[in-house]
Amino acid sequence: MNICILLKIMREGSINSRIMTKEKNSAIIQIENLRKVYRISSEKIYALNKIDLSVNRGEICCLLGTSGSGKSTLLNLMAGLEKPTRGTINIKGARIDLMSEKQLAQFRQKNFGFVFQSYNLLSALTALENVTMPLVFCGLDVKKRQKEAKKMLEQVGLKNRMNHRPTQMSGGQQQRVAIARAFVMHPPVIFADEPTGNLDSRTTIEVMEMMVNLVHKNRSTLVVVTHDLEIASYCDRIIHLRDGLIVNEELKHAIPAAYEKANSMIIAGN
Amino acid sequence: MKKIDILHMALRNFGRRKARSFLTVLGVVVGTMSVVVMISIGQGLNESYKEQIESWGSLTQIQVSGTSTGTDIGAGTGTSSGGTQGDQLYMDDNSVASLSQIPNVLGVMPVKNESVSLIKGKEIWTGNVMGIDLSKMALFGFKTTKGRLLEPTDKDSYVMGYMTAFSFYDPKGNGEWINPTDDQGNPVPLPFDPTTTKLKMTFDTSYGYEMSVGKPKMSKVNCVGVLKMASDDFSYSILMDYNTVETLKKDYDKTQTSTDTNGSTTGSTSGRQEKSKNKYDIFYVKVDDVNNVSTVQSAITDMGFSCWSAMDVLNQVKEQMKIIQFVLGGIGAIAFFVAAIGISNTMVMSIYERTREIGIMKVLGCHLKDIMNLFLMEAALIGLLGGLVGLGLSEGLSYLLNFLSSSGALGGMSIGSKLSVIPFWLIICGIVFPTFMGLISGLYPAWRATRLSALDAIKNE
Ligand SMILES: Nc1ncnc2c1ncn2[C@@H]1O[C@H](COP(=O)(O)OP(=O)(O)O)[C@@H](O)[C@H]1O
Ligand SMILES: [Mg+2]
Repeated sequence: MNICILLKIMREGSINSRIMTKEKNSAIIQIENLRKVYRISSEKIYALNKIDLSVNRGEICCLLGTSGSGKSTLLNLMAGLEKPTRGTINIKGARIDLMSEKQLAQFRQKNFGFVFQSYNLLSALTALENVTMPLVFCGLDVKKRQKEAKKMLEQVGLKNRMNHRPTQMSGGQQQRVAIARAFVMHPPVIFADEPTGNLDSRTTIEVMEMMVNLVHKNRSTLVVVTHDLEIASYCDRIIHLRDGLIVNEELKHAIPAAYEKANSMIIAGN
Repeated sequence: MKKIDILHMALRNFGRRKARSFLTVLGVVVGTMSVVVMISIGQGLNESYKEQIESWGSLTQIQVSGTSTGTDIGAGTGTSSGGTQGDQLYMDDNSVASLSQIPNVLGVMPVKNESVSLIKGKEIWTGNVMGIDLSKMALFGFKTTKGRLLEPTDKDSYVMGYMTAFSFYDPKGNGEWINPTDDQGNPVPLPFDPTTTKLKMTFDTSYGYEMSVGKPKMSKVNCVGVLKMASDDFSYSILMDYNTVETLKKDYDKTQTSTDTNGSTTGSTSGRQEKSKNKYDIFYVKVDDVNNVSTVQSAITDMGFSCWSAMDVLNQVKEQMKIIQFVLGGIGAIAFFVAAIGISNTMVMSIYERTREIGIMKVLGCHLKDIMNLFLMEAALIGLLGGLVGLGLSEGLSYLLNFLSSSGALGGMSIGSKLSVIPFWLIICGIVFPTFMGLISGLYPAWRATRLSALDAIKNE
């Protein structure tokens, strides 16, 4: 807990280190006037309404809100897992909302990585095989994909767990496998829906640190859904959602490289 | 996704649910076996019939037994102008020549039948001596079981049909019949050796019977061989050079006319005139290929002859066999259909079970085409494996059936040598068809898999 607070202070102190000058140009995700309506019998549920949002390249963006506020819905719409009722979603210049299933699969493969609350690993496969999955789907040959996946698992500290199955690993380890899987293709955008929701606070820090590090290293953009303020403290931008509306947008600044180092030293020292 | 990876994943999923995979494959195995074994029995029956019919005469052989229009034969009134053979058909050398002209005909062997008796001590055989053109004998593929065939120079020799050798009996005693075949229809050793046994031949077919008068003239001929077992006309006759038969018959007739009354002499000469136009009784026409028999046969019929071939019977039998095979195949097809439903069912179940897995794959960017192919591959694998195993077991079962039927354990079920025959095309079908069926059965489940919502799959806890 202490470390968390310490980190928060450190990050808040870094306001001047990086100034978002090219904000408009560097927007990787642009959402305009987004609405998602669920129809249950005759009743309309506005899960999202009038959402305007843009996320910059390299940014860690947090969707914060209580349960049922529409965070997951927004994330799923961005990832193309659902179609909006109205509005546009533009990612890397491509209109996600207009894509067919086939195009989406292709786009997801190249551009998105996913981390979920419930890990969503394939239980029949080993850690290594799970991480290899996206590489198999894009048709990489065996040698290359083995090498990439091993490298990725080493980076998440699971070098000696490669041949373990999900059931033989702890929650934190499973989520690290999922993170390795999300980053193995080095996608520009990572979506994480309550990635630490099933983890204890210690593991939560571990996992969040790891994600943040990897995002910076890969120059990826991370969109993370949470209801936890602690998690939000890792982010550059916090978007508060309530009842499907953006009620507040808080912009912070990215963590400079020096602080990253300090963070990892603290973790290691702990 | 690479094809090899799809195959690898499919194999892996197949191996994951061993019991269920096994049971589904078992369904295909049973389906394949029932189709293959049923068809193989149909094939076996077919071949048995073919064997049997071929024993009545080669399938490439047509028998021309006369002219088809009744007025032609022996009418003789308005057609005294013997030179115009275009109007009149007779069983003569002109007809032999014109039949030989028909395309795909290898040769025509004219035959003249005369009734004779062979005498072996007290035992007598009465039947036909077939006067044949010795130069055509080779064409018809005669084979001997004892001795040799006739050479063109063999003027005073004959060859005995297989059945003839078994048909000698003593008209005054209670002769014992020897069966010419054993229980399985195979030939048995000849009761005596006609090439070494002394046999007398006479055209007096009442010789040895009570009404026999005087001592008939014996013809000086000897047997050089016995034909292999068959059920055709040759088998029940003896074969000799045409000219020799004519000469011997004339010699015999001379001795008869000297003893006969005048009336009967004139009667026989009028018959002789009519006969002289029909020089032969039967033509055997040899066709180059089984497939040409029907065309040649209809050409012969068009010329005005009446003819017959073993193919006629075979075609009739084939029609009936088609129905039998259809019924047998139908029984198999039902089992096969049930197996197909089994595959579909297994695949649909598997998709329900793997909803989450499929969803994750989709979220990770697996193309719909690959998901489709994965499930099709799994279904095809079940089909292929079932087909292979089913085929192997069918071969075994077929072997067992043939073993049982040849050892007589199945009673009268078998007609020929084999009850069940698995031709090469059936083996190919036994592999290709179940695999294809697997693919078809997998289509709907595979489509279902691609339609699964990735999101629902992921939410599904
Ligand atoms: N498939 C659905 N059908 C109907 N209503 C839904 C569906 N998914 C989400 N909702 C509703 O949309 C709202 C937002 O849900 P969600 O985005 O999951 O919230 P959270 O912020 O907890 O992730 C909730 O009121 C929820 O009931
Ligand atoms: Mg949620």
